[in-house]
Amino acid sequence: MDALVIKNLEKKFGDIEILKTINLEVKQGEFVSLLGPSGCGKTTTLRIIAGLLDATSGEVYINGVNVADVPVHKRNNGMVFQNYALFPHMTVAQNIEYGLKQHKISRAERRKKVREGMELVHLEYLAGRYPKQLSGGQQQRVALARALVLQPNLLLLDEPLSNLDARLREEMQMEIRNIQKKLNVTTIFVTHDQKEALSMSDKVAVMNKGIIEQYGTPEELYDNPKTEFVSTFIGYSNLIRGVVSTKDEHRMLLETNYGKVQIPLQDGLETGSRILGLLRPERIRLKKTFGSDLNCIRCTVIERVYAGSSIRYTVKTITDQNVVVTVIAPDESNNLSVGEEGCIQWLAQNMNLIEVNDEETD
Amino acid sequence: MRKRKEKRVPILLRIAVSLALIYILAPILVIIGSSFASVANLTFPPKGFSLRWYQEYFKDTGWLNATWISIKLAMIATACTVLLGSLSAYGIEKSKHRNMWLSFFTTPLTIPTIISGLALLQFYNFLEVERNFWAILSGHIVFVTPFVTRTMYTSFYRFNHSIEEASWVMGAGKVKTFLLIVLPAVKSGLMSSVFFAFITSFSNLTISIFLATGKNITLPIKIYTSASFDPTPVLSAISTIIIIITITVMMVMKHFGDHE
Ligand SMILES: Nc1ncnc2c1ncn2[C@@H]1O[C@H](COP(=O)(O)OP(=O)(O)O)[C@@H](O)[C@H]1O
Ligand SMILES: [Mg+2]
Repeated sequence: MDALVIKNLEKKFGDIEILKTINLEVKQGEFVSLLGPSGCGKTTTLRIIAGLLDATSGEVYINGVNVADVPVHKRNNGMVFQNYALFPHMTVAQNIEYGLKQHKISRAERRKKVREGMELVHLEYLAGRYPKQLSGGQQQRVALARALVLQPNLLLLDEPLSNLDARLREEMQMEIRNIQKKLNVTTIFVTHDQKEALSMSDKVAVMNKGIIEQYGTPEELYDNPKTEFVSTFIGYSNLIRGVVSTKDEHRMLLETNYGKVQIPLQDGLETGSRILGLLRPERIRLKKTFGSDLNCIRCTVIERVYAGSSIRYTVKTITDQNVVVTVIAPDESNNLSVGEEGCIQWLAQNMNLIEVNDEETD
Repeated sequence: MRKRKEKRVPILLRIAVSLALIYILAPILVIIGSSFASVANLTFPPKGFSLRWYQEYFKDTGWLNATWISIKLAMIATACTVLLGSLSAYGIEKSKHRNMWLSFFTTPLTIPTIISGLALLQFYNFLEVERNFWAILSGHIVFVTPFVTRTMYTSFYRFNHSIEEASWVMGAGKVKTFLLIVLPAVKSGLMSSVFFAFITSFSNLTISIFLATGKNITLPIKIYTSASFDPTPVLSAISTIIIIITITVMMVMKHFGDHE
């Protein structure tokens, strides 16, 4: 049974449709990120799961139970807010104990769990402090411990790391992930930071304007983006737009803004089909020499950023398109300087293809 | 606590501030001084020193009755207005059209008190309500509640609502959360509401005077009539007692406020 199932969830504020048919399935123990730009509806989704907001339509099932009629305080979820939301008039230990008291857990049991909770996030030595005497990172840990001691059905985190500095953020990413694995707690993690989502999650739901554009493992999303939005929001993609010009039993040729491009034979595409091709910078090879092979496009280097283990080039093709190319472990044959001419080339199967519907083009 | 940077204050400014302070405090000093005088007419500087006016106050059942009525009024009015005002402020802050509701609930603040008093009198006459202690009390409640509503609204508005939501998610119902999380968080607003509700009711003359009868003379009414028809240093003694109590309460509150 899935720990969380969301079916056709829709949310309107007044007349404005903020969420449009959200569907999501999360297995027990999975770490799932809701990733998307600010304002796309991540927090709204999380608050509906928690029970802090009512859906306009659609259902939420937690461990198989439709929670439409279960009020927020009966759902037994753990939540960590962006501003931590610790109770200012309670000490660290009292903050952690609060939820246990609400669940009518005996005093002896409570004391044991509070101690375990503080050990989990390495805060035993701060038990008697008040929240305003703690640093941001420490408050974050208390908020996490407070949510986890309840052994929640779901752990819900709303951009919990966005107020921390970069170094602390990376440390907390690792720590949250380790604790999550140790306790095997099903986790929904909201973030707008694609690196964070990719590095922490089992699965990522990429959201945009109230819909989930794609739901999959980090590898699937990176290697096989299904929409233009996903391909540009996660990592960088060069966009190739074109029309199928030739199709025979061996190959397909596209007429594109990069020139003539060959792609593997595809069902469903006919001469005249409009295509969007997505090409990752590190999937492109840059060479000093150029022949007349297919998918070999002449270009001039216009920018070169050296980063030790890799070099990032921006090149201009003879068709006047800027293309970003990352050369990993550069050597003699592909170390070009600005102004130098060369050629970019890629394997046909390394380009992701999205068929463009006519109504989407304008 | 951070130490404030010492700054040299220009001498002229110091003089101006001192003069202003003297101007504000002088009448109070006159009252305190004259309460210890040994002669009967209200003069300044006071002649002699005695506690006879304090003794007279504590012997006079008329003064004591009036004081007791005012204390009872202020205590019950404080309890009722803080409860009503806090709950309405909480509701207003949560509502969709909070500005509209806030204006509506605090309209009485814009009406001159004397008109409110008169309106209440006519309203009670119309309803044929007896003008007893409870009539005065209800008048005070109507008059004081908007002050509390406004103060508490500000507190709830500043309150970080995600701590309330955190409590709900952690398994506490709405009522429990309100008592255990919300109220402690607005403690300072509550304390100043209690203080000002009490003082406002205790010192109110304008509303009470319309609603009181001979049996229910409040302290401000008795002070007012006595000062008009029969001025005596007992008035100064009472005023001094009230001033001392007020200052003490304020200092206690400040002490607790600092340790929040
Ligand atoms: N209570 C509300 N009333 C009206 N609009 C809201 C409300 N809450 C959120 N919104 C709108 O819904 C959209 C999505 O908000 P949110 O879920 O917070 O986005 P995210 O968390 O992805 O940044 C935003 O455009 C926001 O302005
Ligand atoms: Mg958000």
